[in-house]
Amino acid sequence: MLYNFDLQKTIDKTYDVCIVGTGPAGITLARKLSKAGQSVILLEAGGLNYSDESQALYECESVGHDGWPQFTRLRYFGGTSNHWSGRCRPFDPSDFDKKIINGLPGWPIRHGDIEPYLEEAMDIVDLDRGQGFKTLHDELLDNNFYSDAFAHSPPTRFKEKYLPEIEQSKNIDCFYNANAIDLVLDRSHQVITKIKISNYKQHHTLVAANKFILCLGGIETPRFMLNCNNQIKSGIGNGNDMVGRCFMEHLNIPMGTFLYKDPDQYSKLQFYSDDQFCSINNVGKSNVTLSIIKQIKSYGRTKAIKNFFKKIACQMEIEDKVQFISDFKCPGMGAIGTLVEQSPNLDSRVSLSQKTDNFGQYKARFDWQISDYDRITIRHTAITIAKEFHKAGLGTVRLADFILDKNLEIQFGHHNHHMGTTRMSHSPKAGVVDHNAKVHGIDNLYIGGSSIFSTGGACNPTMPIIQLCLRLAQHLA
Amino acid sequence: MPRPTNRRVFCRSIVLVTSTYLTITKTMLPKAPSQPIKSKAPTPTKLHSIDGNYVAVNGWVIPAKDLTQGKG
Repeated sequence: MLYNFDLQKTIDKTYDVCIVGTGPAGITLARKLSKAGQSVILLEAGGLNYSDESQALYECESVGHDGWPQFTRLRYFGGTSNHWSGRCRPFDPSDFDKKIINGLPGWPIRHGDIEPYLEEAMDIVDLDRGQGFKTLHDELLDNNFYSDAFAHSPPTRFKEKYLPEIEQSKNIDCFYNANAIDLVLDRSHQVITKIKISNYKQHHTLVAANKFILCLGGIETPRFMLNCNNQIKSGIGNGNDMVGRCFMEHLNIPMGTFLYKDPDQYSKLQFYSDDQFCSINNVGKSNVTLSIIKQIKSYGRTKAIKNFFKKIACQMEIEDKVQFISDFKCPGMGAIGTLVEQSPNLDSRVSLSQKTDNFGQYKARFDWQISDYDRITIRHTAITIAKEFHKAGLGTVRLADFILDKNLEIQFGHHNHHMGTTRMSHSPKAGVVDHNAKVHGIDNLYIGGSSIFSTGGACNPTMPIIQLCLRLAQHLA
Repeated sequence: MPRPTNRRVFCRSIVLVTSTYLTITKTMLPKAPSQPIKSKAPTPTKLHSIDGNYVAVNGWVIPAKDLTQGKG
């Protein structure tokens, strides 16, 4: 059933599970748990459609490299699935190898723990099981990289596809305009008893449940946990100061440009670094795409303005000089796109600002930092792909100055993949949730979404998020 | 503390400056040539040694032997 919280005074029922957030993680969990017979309350902070009032709550104080979270996430029913691109690629077995990076352990689970949920996750995002994941082209490089295989979801808009099912479900009560603003613990401080919610008119109520799952994304999940500080000063689950640490993105590096030897042979090539290359050189993974720009392209609500500036920059031939503002690519250029794994590091973090939002909650203080490990990954990957591209007779790559000159600061952008801020680990000293996605030290609080990623690989996170949520649902059912 | 400039403020400033500039100079400047004018000054060559086999010349990654032997 679907309810507007503006029209409710109290919610008296005690639910089996309370899920906060209606993105791909929250909706997947709600559907699976309800089908297993559990009573579920599903809370959405925004409405059924976009509103500035809700979106404004993503505003944060950015003090590191800016990832523009207020423009890249969406805060209404369906969450960021309302504008995701749909690219899907599963994690590799090697993403779960036991490896210490920057003093932090990797995943405490193995690839085999999420692999059984792949086909069901593919169904959820409308991928063809039979078709699987395909490459754009044959193997062209001899060493270090192979042709990357992926699949494209239509992309599935979770609101359009799953809202009717949720409306009709007898086991799901979904409330929108219901902002989570606090968690209430019992005397032991180990069990959550209730969640406090509020609409935009500051009408509050408490909701009781036996289990709680936070599915708020890589920035809002830690912000909420840190703001729940009425009973525990450091915030919920933050006994070891790990909540919000290790923010990771997939790095989008304007690595350079290239010329094909035979421009008519290929329009687009896509490669993935192989395990041996990463292991021998002790670097992270990377996806590298080489394509010829046909026309200026921009995305998002400000694309007309972005296109205007890109056209000016291309006409004036100053695109190299303005790369620091945005990714300026002009028609005819050979563009190299990347999706590079960022390693977990403690200095890259989400904490609380001194500024508050309309609910009196502290806004997020967003400090995105890359590490020396990442700098080595970026430079080594770029130089190696340039050499391999030439060796294979495909053409010649021109690398950006900051790749070749270690004295220059590396330029990087984002892919809107927010990961790692409530990372999974065996030890509470190295993460926030255990191998079952349960918050360390709290008996009935779980987290769904990419904030639990211990490492991010170089694959788009939506499908692994769904696999992990299917696994969590099976654990809780 | 001075407020840091964000992308929106930066873009607004660029729009204002560009539109003002284009309005003022439209009648003052000669018609722009159809092809951008390229500087005839020689571009300094930046040479980076990558390893024993490859070098980067102004960023272009080529085999080192192409520099010494030329390319047939």
